[in-house]
Amino acid sequence: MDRDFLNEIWLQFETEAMEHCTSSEDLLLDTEFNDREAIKIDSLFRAFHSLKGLFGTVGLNQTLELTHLIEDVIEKIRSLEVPLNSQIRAALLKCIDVLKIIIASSSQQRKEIVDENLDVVKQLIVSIDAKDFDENENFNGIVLKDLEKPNSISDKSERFATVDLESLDFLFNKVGLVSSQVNVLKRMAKLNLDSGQFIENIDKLIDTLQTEVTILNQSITDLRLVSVNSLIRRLKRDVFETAISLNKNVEFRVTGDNERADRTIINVLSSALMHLLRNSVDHGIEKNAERGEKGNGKIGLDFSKEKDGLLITVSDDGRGLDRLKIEEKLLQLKLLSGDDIKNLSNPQLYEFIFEPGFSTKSHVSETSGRGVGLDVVKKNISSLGGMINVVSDVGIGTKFFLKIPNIASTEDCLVLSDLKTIYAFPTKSILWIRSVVQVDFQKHSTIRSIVYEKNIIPVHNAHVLFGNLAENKDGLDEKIILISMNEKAFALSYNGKITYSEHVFDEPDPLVSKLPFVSGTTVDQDRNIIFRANIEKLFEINERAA
Amino acid sequence: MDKIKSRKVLIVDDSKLMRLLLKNIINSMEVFSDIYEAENGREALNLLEFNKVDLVLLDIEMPVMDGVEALKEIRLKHDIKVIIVSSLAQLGSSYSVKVKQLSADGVIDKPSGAVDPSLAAKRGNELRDMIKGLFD
Repeated sequence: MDRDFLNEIWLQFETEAMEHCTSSEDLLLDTEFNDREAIKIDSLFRAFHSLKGLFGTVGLNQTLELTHLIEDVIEKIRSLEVPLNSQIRAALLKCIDVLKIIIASSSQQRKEIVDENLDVVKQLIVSIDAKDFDENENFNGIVLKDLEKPNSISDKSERFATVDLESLDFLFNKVGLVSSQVNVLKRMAKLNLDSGQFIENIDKLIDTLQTEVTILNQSITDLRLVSVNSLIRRLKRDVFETAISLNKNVEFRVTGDNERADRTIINVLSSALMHLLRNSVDHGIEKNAERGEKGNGKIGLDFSKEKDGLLITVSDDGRGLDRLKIEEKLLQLKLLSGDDIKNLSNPQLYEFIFEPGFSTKSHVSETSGRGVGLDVVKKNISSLGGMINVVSDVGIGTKFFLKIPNIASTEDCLVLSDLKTIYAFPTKSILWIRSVVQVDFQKHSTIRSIVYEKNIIPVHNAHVLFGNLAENKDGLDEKIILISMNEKAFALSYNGKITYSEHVFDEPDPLVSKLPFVSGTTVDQDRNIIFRANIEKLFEINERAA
Repeated sequence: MDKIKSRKVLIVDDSKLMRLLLKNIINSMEVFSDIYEAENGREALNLLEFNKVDLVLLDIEMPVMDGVEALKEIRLKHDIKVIIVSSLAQLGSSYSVKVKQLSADGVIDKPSGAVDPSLAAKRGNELRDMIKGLFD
């Protein structure tokens, strides 16, 4: 069999198998799905049956056997021998995680992964099979071996965008139109028209071109939009698992999930929503016994389109915010005097939950604690140019409203991470980066400098300028970075890690605004603070010296 | 059997992977000029309304309309050779009886383990031999 065909087969296998995994995941996370719904159980059964077929087709026989075991369990659910409760759902979801990892792994890793997980899955299956199945037993005791998280599997798809052919055709036509107009413009330039007529025609053409370019711009922006749906599966899984680990019965309902938002926004939203939802399960929804007649906790996530953006509502029907606890915390933090606190209206008081260091739980819970508070959520949302606020009624529930604008202005940046604080430089200002050995330094000069556009540019050490994290290592790794904008230039020497990434920057925090070279701040995925370098201020260094 | 590429075949399977594998086997035969594909029985029947086909390779388990239903309808409306390609149609299963009643022209296992070159060759040969037998 030729290599191309084999590659095509494996790619198709991966696509198809992943589809069956995610469709089963969706079914298992559907809280309205119970074991009386024959049609849904049939689809679940069919998905695993198809998976078996796929594993057989590519000769993954051990995984086929594994899937066979899972299929048997679903057969038992179908015949009502085994209940479809949240413990079983959790076990089946973990089995799917394992299958996904096997599917996405390369053939070399696969054998090892199968060997490592075979027993884990068998153990899960056996515990499901056990006649004296304990309703309250928690599967979290069984932990998958240290595997990469299955959500990282989707990374591959995140690097690609799916574009419908209609949009592509439309863009193609528009580009054709624009280039033909440009040709007309060229021809006109060659003809010797009398100036009145010439200008009139040019004006018309410019109008047409302007309109077309605006349309092109809108269409391209539109292509960057991603359905918020891509977030939902992960969030559902998260709510489900949080509820299980806290032993709470929670129904999670998502509405408006076909709304769309810009890629960058989706990425930031993902962590913000995860945090808010965990928060709702953990702090919002009461313990089962406390809820009594209220029954299962209800958590809602709604997306709706507004004139200039997206409105997202995270709601729960839990106990509501506790005024006394917030007052207590405010006193403790000494943010306001006791009298001032008493005079605050409820909405005014609630705004404080977005303050740094604010958490009314005295012990940090494993679930939504993590040392990260609502302040980080607020920071992330405002980095998108969005807003967050909260409405709460005791005994009725809490609602968080997130207003997100349509487009966040992202900047491509060169990021220098081996400095005391991470600094980012807009790539549009970077002229070149060269290894120190490739750079012709100005000879006979007291300070190291280079010549650029007939000007002598001194080389400044980034580690000295921005503060150093580690001892400055000498060596061939040293890079010279030439920054240039508006005919001004600045040269930096730097020794360390360089990466490229997209960022959305905030106005500098008042705390850092005194730092000389910072024009914006942001937080990356690992919660590192990144400063946007103030290029203009850098140029001023040379100007002052001159 | 004529070696001239003139005959048309329809592959019916809900898995694109399986259709790819079957297409690869068929292509190596130089017998068929056109290969049609359908994802389920319903799609296959719609396709047969407007296209003349000499052979159908039919999977059993499919959503919307399964292979058994499709075979019934094909037998009612068309004069086409049908090979059932399914592991379910193995001797002894309840499906094999049904398939026999509906008189499929051949029953063969899916090309499973197809990524293993030697096994793929074996399965491929089985299918090719069966098809050759039908058109001799």
